[in-house]
Amino acid sequence: MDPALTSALIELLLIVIIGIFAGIIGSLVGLGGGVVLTPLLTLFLKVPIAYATGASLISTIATSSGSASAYIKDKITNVRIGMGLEIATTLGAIIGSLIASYIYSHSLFYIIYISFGIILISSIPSTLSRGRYELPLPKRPDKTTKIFRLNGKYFDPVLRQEVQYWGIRWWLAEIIMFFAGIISGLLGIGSGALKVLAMDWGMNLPMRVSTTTSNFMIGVTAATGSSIYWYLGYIQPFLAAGTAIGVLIGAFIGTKILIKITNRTIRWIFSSIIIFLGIEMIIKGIVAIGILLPLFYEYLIPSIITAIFIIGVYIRVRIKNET
Amino acid sequence: MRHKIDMELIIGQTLRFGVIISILLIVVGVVILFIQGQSNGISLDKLSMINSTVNSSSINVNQMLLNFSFNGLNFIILGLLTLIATPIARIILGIASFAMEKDKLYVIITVIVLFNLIFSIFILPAIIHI
Repeated sequence: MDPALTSALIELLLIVIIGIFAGIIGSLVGLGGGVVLTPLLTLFLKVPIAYATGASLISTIATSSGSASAYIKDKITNVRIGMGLEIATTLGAIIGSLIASYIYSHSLFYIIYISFGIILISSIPSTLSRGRYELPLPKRPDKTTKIFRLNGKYFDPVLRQEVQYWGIRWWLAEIIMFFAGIISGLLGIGSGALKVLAMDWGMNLPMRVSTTTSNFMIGVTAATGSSIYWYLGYIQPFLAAGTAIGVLIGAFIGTKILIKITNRTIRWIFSSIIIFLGIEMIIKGIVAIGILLPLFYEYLIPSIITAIFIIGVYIRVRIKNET
Repeated sequence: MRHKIDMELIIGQTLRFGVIISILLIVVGVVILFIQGQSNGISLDKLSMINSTVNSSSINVNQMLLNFSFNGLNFIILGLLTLIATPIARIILGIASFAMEKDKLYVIITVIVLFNLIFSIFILPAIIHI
């Protein structure tokens, strides 16, 4: 075989495999594929950060649209609430991607790396609390509940009952969604964790409604950002093609495994991968500022912190089980 | 009520087929790219490089769509565009669905969302360009 062809094929395989891995982790911990994809591409394949975020936005659209179709059929997604909040996320995504374009044109890459790391690590608490599908304590409907018709109902397969719910504080959710949009445009991710926070904590919606509606919204937010990324040249067709295929395969495998995995410890393991990637990104950001670290420390520091995290969690789980 | 149920199904199916079609186009594009070993006069190793200079800003989409040739890169680009267009189709169907229910407030809300999207696709690039 032609050596140029072989090297391109290996390149493609690596991209697809990283995509599959990101898709599996993403769907298992309930984050979009992009959050894991970008660190893997930049850290292990040395892909330029702008191309990595561009590819990540594209795969985010693919996974969101792919799984949203299933959730709409189940009638858990609240299309009204989703559409209403997209005003804020699309506006935020426009501003976020413009900030990204400023950052890239001024070579301030460390801002992207460091904020990416912080977003990864701060997504851990919401990742760990996922799977708790208790219903929120009902709060009194407010004015926005009536004006924007934020009520709905769905059949909960776990609780085996029809759940009636209503959302409150529409304005608060819009504010949080605006920031979710900025993060999405800035880092090329779906920022699902923030979206869920806006609906779950902000609007007091049931977790199931929040997660499926968030997933439904992510595609539109990502499409807004990706059109600006497209114009700015952050989308590298070969890379985006490989990651889109990989992440979709990974997300599909992930949802198949998810049905079987109920064990919490597996979620801890994946969370520690995310912590590791988060610290790696922050260190990469520090190196990008110009502070040189010996290569040795670049992997040692994240490994130590991740190990502490795993041990800490293990001890906590043990204590909980004994009492 | 009958309209609403129909529309939700249509929106769901649009999303699903949008993704399927775009992924098929991308896969076909990649296969053609590897068979031909080049695309649009650019060699495969130049296209596949991690820091390749071939990116979305160096491709003229209008020109590519007007004289579409059987090239790997063209199929990949078409697939990526279809993927980006899928959520937009969903918004437009959403407007139709709210209009059928005579829900004025949500027609207005969804039109604002569509405007934001159109703004970022067509108007903003022109503004940045200046």
